[in-house]
Amino acid sequence: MRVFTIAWREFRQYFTGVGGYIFVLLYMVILGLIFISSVQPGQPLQTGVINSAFLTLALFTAPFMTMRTFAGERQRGTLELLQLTPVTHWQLVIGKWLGVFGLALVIVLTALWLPISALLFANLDLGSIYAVFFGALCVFAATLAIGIFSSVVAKTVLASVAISSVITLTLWVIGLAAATLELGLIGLPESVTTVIRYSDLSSHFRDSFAQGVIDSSDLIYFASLTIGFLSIATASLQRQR
Amino acid sequence: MFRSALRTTLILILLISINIIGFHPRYRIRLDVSANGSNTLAPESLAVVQDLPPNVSAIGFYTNASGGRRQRAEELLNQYRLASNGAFDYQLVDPDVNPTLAREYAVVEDATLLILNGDTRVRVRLLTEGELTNAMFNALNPRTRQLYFVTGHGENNIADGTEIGLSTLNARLNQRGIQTADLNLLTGGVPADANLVVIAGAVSEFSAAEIAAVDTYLAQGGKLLLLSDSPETADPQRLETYISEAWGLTLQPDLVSDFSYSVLGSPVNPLIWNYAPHPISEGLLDLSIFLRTARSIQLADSADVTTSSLAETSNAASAIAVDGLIAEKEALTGLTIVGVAENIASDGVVLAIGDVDFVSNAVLQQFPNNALLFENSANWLIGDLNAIQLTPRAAVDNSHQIITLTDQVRFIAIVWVLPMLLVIGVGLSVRVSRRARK
Repeated sequence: MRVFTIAWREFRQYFTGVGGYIFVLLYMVILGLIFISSVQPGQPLQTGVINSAFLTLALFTAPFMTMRTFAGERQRGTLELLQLTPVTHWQLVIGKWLGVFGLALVIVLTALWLPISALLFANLDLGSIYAVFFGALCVFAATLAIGIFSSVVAKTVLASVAISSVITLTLWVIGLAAATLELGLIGLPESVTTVIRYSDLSSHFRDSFAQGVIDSSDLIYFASLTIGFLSIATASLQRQR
Repeated sequence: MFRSALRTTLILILLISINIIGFHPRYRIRLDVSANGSNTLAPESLAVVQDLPPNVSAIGFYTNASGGRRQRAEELLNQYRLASNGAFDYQLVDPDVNPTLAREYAVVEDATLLILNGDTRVRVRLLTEGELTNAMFNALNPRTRQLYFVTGHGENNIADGTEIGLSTLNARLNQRGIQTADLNLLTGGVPADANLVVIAGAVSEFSAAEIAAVDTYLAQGGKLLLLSDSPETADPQRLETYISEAWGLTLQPDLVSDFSYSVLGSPVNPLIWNYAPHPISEGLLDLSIFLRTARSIQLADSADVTTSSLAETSNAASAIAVDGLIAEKEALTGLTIVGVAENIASDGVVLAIGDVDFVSNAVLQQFPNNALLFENSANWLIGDLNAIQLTPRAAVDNSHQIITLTDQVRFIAIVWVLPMLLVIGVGLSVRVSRRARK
C-alpha cells in the first residue's frame, strides 16, 4: 500500500507542475510531425515510421524523467526525511519507479492516439501497432529503472542524467559494436559476440515489437533490466544510509 | 549491509540464468500479432523445418560489403531456428576473415548461403521464405540434376572455351550441383534421366526423327529450354515450326533494336529489365540482362497449351525484319524475349529465350549476372524452385483516403492538433484550479 502512496505522490508531482505536460507534448510534437509528414497521396499509410523515433525519444528522455526522483530529493534535503519514515528502501525505490512509469504510461497512451485516430482515414494493422506501443512500455520500464538507479547513486540531478545517459546509450549502441565484431573485424569468439548482441537494447525492440512480434526472450530481457537495476538501486540506497 | 549485497547478487545471478534459458530457441515463445502473420513461417515451411533431422544446418558467407543481406539472412534463419525447436542451426561467416572455410565450401560469391545435410550442399538463390524452404527440401531429398545440351546442329557447345562457347556457363552449373552432358537426339532420343533438355543456338535443320524425339519427351512431361540464335545465321525451320505450332511460341525472323536501352553503343544490344511476376524473375528484379542480336517471340495459347511472357524489352524497342524493314507494333509495348508454354495435359514445358549469346563466354565475362536468367530458368524447369509452394499471405490494406487539401487539414487536425490542444487544456485547467484553491 505504501508503494502505491509513494507512486501516486510521485506521479502527481509531474502533473501538478508543467514537467509531465512538457514530456507528453514533446512526444506528440515529434512523433506527430514524423507521422503526418509520411502521409503521401496514393501511398499506403505507414505507422512504422514512428517506431525508431519512439525508441530514440524513450532512451533520451528517460534520464530526464527520473533525474528528480532521488537526486532531486537529495539536493533539496528531503531524502533524509523520507528515509526516516517507516517506508522500506525497496518500497521507496519501487514506488518512485511506479510513479515515473505512470508518466510513461500517459505518454504512450497519448501517442497511441496518432495511429488510432488515423483509423478514421485508413485501414491499419492494429496488431502491429499495439505491439509497438507495448514494446515502448517495455523500453520505458527498463530505461526508467536505469534512471532510478542513476538518481540513487548521483549527488545532483545533472550527474543523474549523465550516468543514466551513459548506461542507456551504451546499451543502445552496443548493437553497432556487435555488428562490427561479428563481421570479423576483430574476430572475437562467437559466444562473446552473442552476449554483446543480446545486450543490445534497440534490437530487442526493433527486431520484434517493431515487426509486430512479441517474443518471450525480449520480455525476459526488459524485465531483467528493470528488476536488476531496481535491485541495485535498493542496495545502493541501503548502503547510503 | 552484507545481506543486502548478497541478496542483490543472488537476484542478478537468477536474472542472468533466466535470460540464458529464455534465449534458447526451445524455450522461446513468439507471438505474431501482425494482421497477415508476416512474421510467421507458412504451414509448408513449418512442416519442413519441424521434421528436420538433426544434421541439417545452414552456413552463410557475408563480407562487410554484403550490407543488409546479412541481416535479412539472419532474421529469416532465426525464424527457422525458432520453429525447429533448436534442431536447425546456422552459422554466418565473413569469408575475408575465414578464407579457409570459404574455400572448403567452394564459395566464390559474397552473400552465399548454403543448406547442409551431410555431404549435400544446396545453395539458396534468394533470401525468401519460399527459396529457403525449397532449398531445405532439396537438401533433404538430394537428387541428380541432369541437363542435356543438344548437339549436331551447330549449337553453342558446353565444352567450347572460345568466345561463343558455353564453358563458363557449364562451370557455373556444375558448381551448383547440376550435371551436364551433350545429347545427340539421333542416338536413342532423350535419356530417361534427363531433367531438362537445352537447345542452345541451333543453326541448321533438325531431322523429322529428332523432332519426334523432342515431341515424345515433352509429351511425357519433359522440359525444354530453347535459346535461339540470330535469324541471320539460324535456320532450324523444322524445329521452329514445331515449337510454334505445338507450343504457341513463335520465334520471329527479326532483330530486336532498342535505341533507348542498349549497351556497347549498338541498338541491337538491348537490355531487358521488364519481368513478369514469376519464380524465374524473382532474383532478377533489380538486374538488367544484356542481349546480343536477339529475336522477339510471339505467343499464342491453344486448347492444351498456356503461354506467357516472362521478360520484355522496353516499350521503345522495335523489331527489324531480316529484310531491314521495321515491323510496326500495335501498341507501345515491349517485345517478348522470354516466353514460356505449359501443356496442362502432359505437364511438358517449353521455355524459349530469343537469344543465345547472352550466356556465351565473351558476354558472361563482362556481364556475369546474365547467367542468372539461364540458371533461374533451368532451376524452375527442373523443379528446384517450386517443389514446395507456400500458401500466399493476404496483403495488408493500408490504403487511405487523404487526397485533397481538405482531407489533409482534417487529418492533421484530428490526428495531431486535437490531442495536443487537449493536453494543453488539461494542463491549464489544473494550473488554474490550483491557483484558485490557493
